[in-house]
Amino acid sequence: MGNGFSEAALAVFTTLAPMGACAFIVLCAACFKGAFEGAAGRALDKAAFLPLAVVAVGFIGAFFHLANPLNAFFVFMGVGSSPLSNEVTVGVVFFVLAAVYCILAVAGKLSAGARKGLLAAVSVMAVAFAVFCGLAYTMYTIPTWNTPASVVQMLGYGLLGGGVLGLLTLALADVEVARENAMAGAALSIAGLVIGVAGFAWQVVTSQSVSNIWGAAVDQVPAIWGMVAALAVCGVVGAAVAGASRKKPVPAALALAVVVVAVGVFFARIGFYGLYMSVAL
Amino acid sequence: MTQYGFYFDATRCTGCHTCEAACRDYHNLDVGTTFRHVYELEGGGWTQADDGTWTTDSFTYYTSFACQHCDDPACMHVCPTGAMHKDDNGIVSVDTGRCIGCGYCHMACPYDAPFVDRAKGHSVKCDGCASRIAEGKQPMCVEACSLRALQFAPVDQLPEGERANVAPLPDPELTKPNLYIKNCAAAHAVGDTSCRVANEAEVK
Amino acid sequence: MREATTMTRRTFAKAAGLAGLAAAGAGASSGLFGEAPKAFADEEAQGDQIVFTHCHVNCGGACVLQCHMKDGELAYVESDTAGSSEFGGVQARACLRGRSIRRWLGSDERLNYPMKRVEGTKRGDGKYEQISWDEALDTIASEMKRIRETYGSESIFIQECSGVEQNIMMNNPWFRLSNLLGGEITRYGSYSSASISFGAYPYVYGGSWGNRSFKTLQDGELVVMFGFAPNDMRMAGDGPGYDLAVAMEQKNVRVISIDPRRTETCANLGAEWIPIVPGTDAALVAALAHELIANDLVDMDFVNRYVVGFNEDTMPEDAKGQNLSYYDYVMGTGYDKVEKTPAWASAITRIPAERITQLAQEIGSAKPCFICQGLGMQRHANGDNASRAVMALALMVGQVGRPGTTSGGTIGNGGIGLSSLPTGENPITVQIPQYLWPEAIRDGEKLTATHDGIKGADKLNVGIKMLINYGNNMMANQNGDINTTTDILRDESKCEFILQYDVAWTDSCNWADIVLPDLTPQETYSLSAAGECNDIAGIRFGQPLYEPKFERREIYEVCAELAERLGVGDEFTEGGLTREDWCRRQYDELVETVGDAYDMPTYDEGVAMGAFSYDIEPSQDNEPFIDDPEANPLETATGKAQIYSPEIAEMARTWTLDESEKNAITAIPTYVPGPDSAEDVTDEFPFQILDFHPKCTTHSTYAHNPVLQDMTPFQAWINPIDAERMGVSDLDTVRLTSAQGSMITQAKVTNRVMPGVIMHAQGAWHSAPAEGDRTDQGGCTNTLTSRQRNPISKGTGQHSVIGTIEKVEG
Repeated sequence: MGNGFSEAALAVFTTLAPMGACAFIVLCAACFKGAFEGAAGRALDKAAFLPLAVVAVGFIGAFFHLANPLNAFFVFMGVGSSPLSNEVTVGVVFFVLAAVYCILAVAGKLSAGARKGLLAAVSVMAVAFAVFCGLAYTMYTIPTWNTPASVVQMLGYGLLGGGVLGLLTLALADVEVARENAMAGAALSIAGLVIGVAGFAWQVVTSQSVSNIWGAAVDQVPAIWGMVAALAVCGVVGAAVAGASRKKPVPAALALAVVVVAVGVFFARIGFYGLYMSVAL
Repeated sequence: MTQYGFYFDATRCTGCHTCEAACRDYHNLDVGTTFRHVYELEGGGWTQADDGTWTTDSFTYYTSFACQHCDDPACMHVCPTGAMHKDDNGIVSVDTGRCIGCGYCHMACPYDAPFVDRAKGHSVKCDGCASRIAEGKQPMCVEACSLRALQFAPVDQLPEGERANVAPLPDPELTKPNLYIKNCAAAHAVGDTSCRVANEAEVK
Repeated sequence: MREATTMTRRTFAKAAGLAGLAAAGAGASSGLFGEAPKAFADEEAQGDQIVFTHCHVNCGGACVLQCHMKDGELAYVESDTAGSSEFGGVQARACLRGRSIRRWLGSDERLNYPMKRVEGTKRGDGKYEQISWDEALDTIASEMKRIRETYGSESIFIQECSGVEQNIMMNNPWFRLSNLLGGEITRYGSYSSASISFGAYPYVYGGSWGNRSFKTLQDGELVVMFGFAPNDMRMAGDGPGYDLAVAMEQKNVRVISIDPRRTETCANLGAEWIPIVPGTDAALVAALAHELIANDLVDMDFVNRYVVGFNEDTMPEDAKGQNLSYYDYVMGTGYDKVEKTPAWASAITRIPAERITQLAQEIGSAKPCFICQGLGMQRHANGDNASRAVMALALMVGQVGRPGTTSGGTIGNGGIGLSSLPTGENPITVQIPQYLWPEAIRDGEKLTATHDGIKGADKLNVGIKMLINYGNNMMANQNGDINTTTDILRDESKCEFILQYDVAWTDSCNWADIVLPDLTPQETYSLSAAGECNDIAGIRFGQPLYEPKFERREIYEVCAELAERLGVGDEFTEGGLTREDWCRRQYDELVETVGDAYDMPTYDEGVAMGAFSYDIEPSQDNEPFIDDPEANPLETATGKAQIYSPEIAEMARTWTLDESEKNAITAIPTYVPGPDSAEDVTDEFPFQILDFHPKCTTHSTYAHNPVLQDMTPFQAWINPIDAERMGVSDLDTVRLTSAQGSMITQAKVTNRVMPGVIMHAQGAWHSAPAEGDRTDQGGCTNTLTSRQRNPISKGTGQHSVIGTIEKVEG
């Protein structure tokens, strides 16, 4: 009930992991535009470990949420039936794929075609992972979560954060490459901003009608609309920095934007968990 | 498969919490945690006549419940590891060698039954005192009740009762709980919104 | 010989026996009771040992605690598993309190070492240092000697011991020791029941009379309870709450509860609740009498034969012709010349007049009708009269002394009466009313017979100079008006030595000069009759769960050492008897006394069984007085049941009352509002505040068991209408304030309390400094209560309190 901060570890996971995953979409777009063919290629391959690391940090956050991570292997027992197993499985498939990409890329073992194919697959899995992160919360006994809005907002957060983080990744490798591909990053983050804010707002709106014996769901998080607004503001900042990168990408500004977006999404996630309400108790 | 379930004769319950106390003691639960809940519901109000006298249509009733060992348990649905399972007696139990303590069962259960004991590293919940059942004894809560308001047995051996049909419990169609209730006169059915929990400090 | 109705010896042995025998170290003998039960074998296989003991507090019960031990420590508690587990069967099943005892025994609050108040600090400063047992006992012995020599034995007072009430030892070793040294002043009456016992029964029936348990209830009969909550406070499986619930279901008994609070009997069990303004029961009874008279429902045949004082015809000769009867009071022709119509009473009780009329019809036409009262009502100002009034109601409808009835007083019970440790002869015959011990410290010889109820002398010769507290939390928790009480204790020139000997560091310890650490009865040898309020015959045998921990020591051994120091060691122990020896001896004597009435196991068999119980069949006989009042007169002045008491009429002439002009001694049970009544509420103090016995404690015993606090926290119950008016929401931190003091607690907004009344669970532990802001952070309701004593009994009138509530930050 009510206190989203008690799920802070999960909030860290659902903020960082989809963000890191979706950053690969920007890399993919850059790849299709030929960014990896020039001198910047090797730097880009090294930089790709940044979003991978962000995903890893997210997973570590999730591990801290578990009371007994040593049994984590059993998570795959529930694939198909448990939405959490599905989420973790998709996440792991993504991660393995992304890690394979990064390792092969940095080892110089990827042909241009293989790189495109692999990055496209990683990107698809990134989107799938974000979607499954949302699906994990659609449980039929939790009406505030059991809505497509849970999925939509997660997708939005992934794209929003991924766009900015992807651009930062490019910029750290090569500012010029970042400038040339800023459009993709900006488009991704703007789309993510719109989808994420709309998804979160949609959830808040649908939660207005949810109540149980303890009261109304939205009353649990009095600041919920403030959290929507905070997400929007942070998202706009991130998208603006991404957009501005079309003229002059500044790595420090992008790094700051990544932090701002992560903070915004994190608070949105806290709001999301705060809206937890069971059908009964 | 045999399906065990609880029977609760609400007409006998005095809300004394002894079932809960015995359970907490036997299972050595930390203060602040419980497998069994005793909810106090109330509603109605007071009217003062012109002559200053008071009349009330208020009501109070208790309901005591633990895990319902549902036919269709929400906790099992969401459990990623299969640690949450039904045993041969239909008792929903935690395979502690498998549980990762993710807390999804706790989130999903509409009866507030399982929760994660971080010190133990897994979910914990009412197991129907399975080891006592195996010895032919009653669960601790059943044996503790002075008023004999609780029973635990294969459901086809329980007295007839309404299937978990009392506020504030959820619609029994959701999970098909194995709790059968003989309701008292003051009780209100599932879905009733005219009553409220009167003992929030005790159950939250 | 009476056959055991709940179990035969064979069955109780099988159910519970051999495990305990093994645990007691007596060696399991499979030949003794036949085959070892399966459960025991399984437990043995798991390495469990079972040690039987019992709950020991002052709730009226003495439930069986079947303790499962692992590695020498208490693992978990089962209760009474012998006898019938069917609804209606008898098992002394412990309530949540006994079930939670493991956490209490291991509590951080336990006392572990003897302590003394640090020199240079005052009582109440709370500064103590550890000392040796030798130093502690030397100090106590020398103070006992000095004070006795200086002020005489009348200056020594041994307080009651609610915390270990259900136990063969109680505080008797202190009396035994003191009596060997010259005796001590004693008390009469108790906190619980002083007004009914010393202000009502003696004057209505010549003593406790005609009380029957709920087991006497007949099919379909009506029970009317005034301020009685058996399902709240006596929850044991062999207790009155259980008996009532069984009767309600199996005999279709209908119950009406007249109470300011919806008790547990009026929740699921479905009793009808008539909310009443606290302290106004005598007004309700007067109006009920009015309606009984108006509708010809008074049982005049009964009244004429058995009752004095109902009407002019039944008045004693010397009181006739003065309109002094209850009838005259009720019909407006006597006393205050006000007719006690339902409308008159409804303005006082806030019960609608038509409900009063209807209730009179119901009571007047129900045969039999079980009219009873709890003890809460008589702990209000003029509780003497309120208590007598309800008895008068039962008398008017003739519903006393027969099966299906009680006396209009409390419910009764039978049982096997186990004698506690003999205390010897006390040469001091002076007695004080229990409630007035602080005044006996403060005012000493100013306390008189006709003003303060001193018995055995016209006045006290000396105040209390030595106060021995054992197994109680009286000084700073359970006594009316804690601030006044502790002010009296702080002055070391008044009471010169105070001992506190208990199991836990309550605030009362902070007012002692020496504090001693006790074992709980579960940690030593114990023996108890089945609960003193339970209609059950049985014995509970307690064996120590484990060796004493830290430097805790039990009372008998400690008093024996003191006796040794004071030169009466041999007399005290009768040549070396131990606590266990006394348990055995008292039990063996009991077996002799009981004779053939019950099949009694030997002591060793009893220890092996842990406990045994026999159900008691309700008597089908009338009281002898009912069958033949001339041959079997009551021990009243008139020999009859008295609505008008000549004894009280004499008191009214000779006693002086000064504590409040609103108090009164009246020979008939008139309604006298008393001080701090509902009539006295003001804008500053708009509420009546009273406490009640909650589920989580017995008085203050177990109150700091965290698991009990977790399940049933201490809260101030307030009606939603009042809560809204005062800006208080459910679970808010609030301050309750009366003229006597102020305390912090949590609000529970609930329909279960009537508007205008705030009710708070009693027993929470007082926590406040001795000086400065004395706001009690612990939620002890006696911070609010008064020193009001009732006019006849001098008993506890402390619960007439007006005050207010406010939300505070917390």
